[in-house]
Amino acid sequence: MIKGELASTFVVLLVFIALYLYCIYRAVRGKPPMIRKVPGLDAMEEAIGRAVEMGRPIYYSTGVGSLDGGDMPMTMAGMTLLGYSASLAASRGAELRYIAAVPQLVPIAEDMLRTAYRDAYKPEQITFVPSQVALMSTIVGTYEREKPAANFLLGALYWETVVIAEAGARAGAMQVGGTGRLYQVPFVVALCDYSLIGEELLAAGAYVSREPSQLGSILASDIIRFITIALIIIYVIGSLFGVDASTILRF
Amino acid sequence: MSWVRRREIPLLIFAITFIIGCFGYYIEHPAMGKIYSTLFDWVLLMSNLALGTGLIAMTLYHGKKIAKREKGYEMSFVVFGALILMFVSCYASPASREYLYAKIYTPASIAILCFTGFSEISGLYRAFRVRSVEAFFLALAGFILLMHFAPVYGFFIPGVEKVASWLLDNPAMGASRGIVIGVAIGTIAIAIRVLLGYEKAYTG
Repeated sequence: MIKGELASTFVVLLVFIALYLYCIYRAVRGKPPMIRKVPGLDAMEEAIGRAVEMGRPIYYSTGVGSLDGGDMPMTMAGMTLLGYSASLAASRGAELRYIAAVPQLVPIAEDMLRTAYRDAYKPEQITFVPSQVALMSTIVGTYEREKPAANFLLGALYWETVVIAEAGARAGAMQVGGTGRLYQVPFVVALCDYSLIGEELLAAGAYVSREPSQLGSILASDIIRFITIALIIIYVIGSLFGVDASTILRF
Repeated sequence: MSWVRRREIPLLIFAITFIIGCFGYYIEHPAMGKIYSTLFDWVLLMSNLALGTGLIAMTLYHGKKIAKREKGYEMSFVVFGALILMFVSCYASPASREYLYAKIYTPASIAILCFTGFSEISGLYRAFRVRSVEAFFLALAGFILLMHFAPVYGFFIPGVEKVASWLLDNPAMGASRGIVIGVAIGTIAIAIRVLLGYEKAYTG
């Protein structure tokens, strides 16, 4: 029934899912784990405060990553942070504007901004541009004209990263960037004031909500990470002695 | 609350498609295979249907903009002009459609791309300025890559390409795999959170 070559990975996946469910159950029952501070996420509040003081807008982009395939988790994390930053900006009286390059994200963003701003919501707060080239040129022009106080660049970012982050830097905006896409991580780190690398971005939903259930999933992720590191060490030691330790997970 | 607007509906759709997608990948069974392929056919159908609704939404949006003479309404005429031109050329003359695409759309896109190229170069300059430890390593990595790809370095310093290749294949590969593993684990975590209804970003 289960494809032969995938049997071991299927079992490992089921074990991981069980571990996630256990950690979430444990956290909900009253033992939520501690989560370390993520400077990039804390900086979003500071950037919004800066926008209020300067009376300038905050711009937000999730890049050209969509809600499918490998981009999905990063885009979803980016959208979670859009909801968080929109409600924070609305409560402080700052204007947050979202530039989307993926049509599916427009109604989601619209709903988030409407919920956050209520009667103060303006349709101009969301701009849709249909392609990567259009996104880059729109952002370069808009940032040059409007000089935003803060620029958030969070999601599955492609090579628009360097252009958007550079436009933000030229405009003097405080920048928070984050992605799990390998080739864009160096640009985010070098060009943004604060950066979220890889899983930091994916843990953002749990970090900003502080819900025990979500924090439980972070604990499970950490346990799985330690198991992975242990397996890598066993494999390396085994290789030194001529033993193929990867057979542990083949059955 | 109307049942259509209930948050449970998208969650239920996600749960069903997640289970079919996940189990369909691992389980070999004729029924499961058929459900799996039907689901992907639905995805294609819905994407195409969404294109149609997108066209209606765009027409309504620009139509309203022109009717109310909102700021920038002149550009809405350009949108309608381009839309009608492309639509007519697709049916009336496929050759003219090719012409419009290859001789107008593509050069216009490339022109905009060149405009952003300035930002790209300026951004790279900013990225490679050594103002922090991270930027130093990025500049070092850039220099090593230059040594790897530009043969002139190999001409003056024999064997330097091998150092660059070793750095790329070992320490850089190890570090990048660390990020990839972290993202993979985070992806499972997000899928579980969505499945249990804790992560609701996709519902707005």
